[in-house]
Amino acid sequence: MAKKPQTHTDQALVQLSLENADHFAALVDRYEKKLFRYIRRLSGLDEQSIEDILQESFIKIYTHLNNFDTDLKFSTWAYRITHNETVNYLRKNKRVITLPLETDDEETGRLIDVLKSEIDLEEEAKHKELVDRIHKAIHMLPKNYREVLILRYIEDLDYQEISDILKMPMGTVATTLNRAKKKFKQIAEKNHFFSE
Amino acid sequence: MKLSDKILEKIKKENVTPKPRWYFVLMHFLLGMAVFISMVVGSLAVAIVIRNFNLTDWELAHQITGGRIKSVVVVLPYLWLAFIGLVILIADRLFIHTKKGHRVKPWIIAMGTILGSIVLGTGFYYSKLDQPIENILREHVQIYKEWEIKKHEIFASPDHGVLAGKIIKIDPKNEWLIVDFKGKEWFINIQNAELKFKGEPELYMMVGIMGEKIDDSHFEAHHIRLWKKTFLLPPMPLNGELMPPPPAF
Repeated sequence: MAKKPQTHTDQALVQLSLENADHFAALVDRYEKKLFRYIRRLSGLDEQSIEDILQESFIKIYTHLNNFDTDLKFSTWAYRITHNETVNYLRKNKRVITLPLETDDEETGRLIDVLKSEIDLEEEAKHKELVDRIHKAIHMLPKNYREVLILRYIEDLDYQEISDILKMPMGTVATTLNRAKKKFKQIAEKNHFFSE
Repeated sequence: MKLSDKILEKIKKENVTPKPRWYFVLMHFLLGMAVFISMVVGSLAVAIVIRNFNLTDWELAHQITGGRIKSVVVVLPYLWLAFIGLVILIADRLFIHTKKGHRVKPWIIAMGTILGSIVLGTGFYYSKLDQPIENILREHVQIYKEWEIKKHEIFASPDHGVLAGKIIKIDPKNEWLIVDFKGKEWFINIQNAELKFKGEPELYMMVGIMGEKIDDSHFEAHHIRLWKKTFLLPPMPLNGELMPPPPAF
């Protein structure tokens, strides 16, 4: 009996998609939400724009399936394409980033945990409000800082994956991340995001 | 409607297909070739710089400028150095876009391209691969020709005790007539001069002279050496006649 598409590995699905486009649906289903959230965090755009970018990203992934480097994880490659599509979209449309209305408590929580040791958080601070503030602080960061911070602490990717997505050496990722954290702290302190 | 359904519908409706594997293989090959070509071009430029340095008469340069560092600053082939810098930068940028290029630290790429260019350039220098390129530039590219003339004009500096140019007349009474790199004619008294080259002086020989300016058309030579650098002095009218092209050194 043939395996269900959902049980195939990413690499197997890539091969199957090259033979039959229908199998590509399984890859889309698998990464749709993750990439949607990534675009939203990176761009702060409205839902319709995010969907447009996501659709274009998946079409590009499909047309470039033969260029998929099996040394990379499929997710890393998909993130890279989506990242580039988002950046291109923002460049073309010269859109001002708007703050995302939705927040994701669970995943942003990881960033809070990481930064907790560096920022004097009041334990009783309302979590939802804190998450909003973190998003605000992230979106006040320069683009390159925002990218690494989101990829590392919200998408929970390792340095090698970030290096492959942003096409920069791991050392540069580490340096940028350190600077991003410092800048994030500065912004947070200056705006009293965590001191109330 | 699910996103995957929308995407599949678009793929089928617009007949979107994955680009063939050979297309990407070709793209990666072209990128690799571009890196390689940049390296080769940069290395040829390095070979030209080495040749320029090697053929420069540093003693004359030193005499004109009054210092070793100053002479290097004056003689440096800035155009080529800028070109090498640009080509190395291009090779760097292209390399980053290769499959795993981004994983290499920028300074390692930079050092690699610089060292690679120096090693390859030294090889080109010894195999004289750079010479035809520079000759073509000298003969056919006006800007390059003018730049070369400007560089040589530095050595027409009688006030600093240096004259370089071509012998156009040899007088048996120990006097030569030379035309310097600025096209001015000089009578050179060689009575007390030391010839620092083997063989007899010949017409159209290019020489570098250290000595003393006597007046606006006379110069007393102390040391005379062969001018090692190739310099295609344009044919100049001489006593109403057109000089034959100079022999290549």
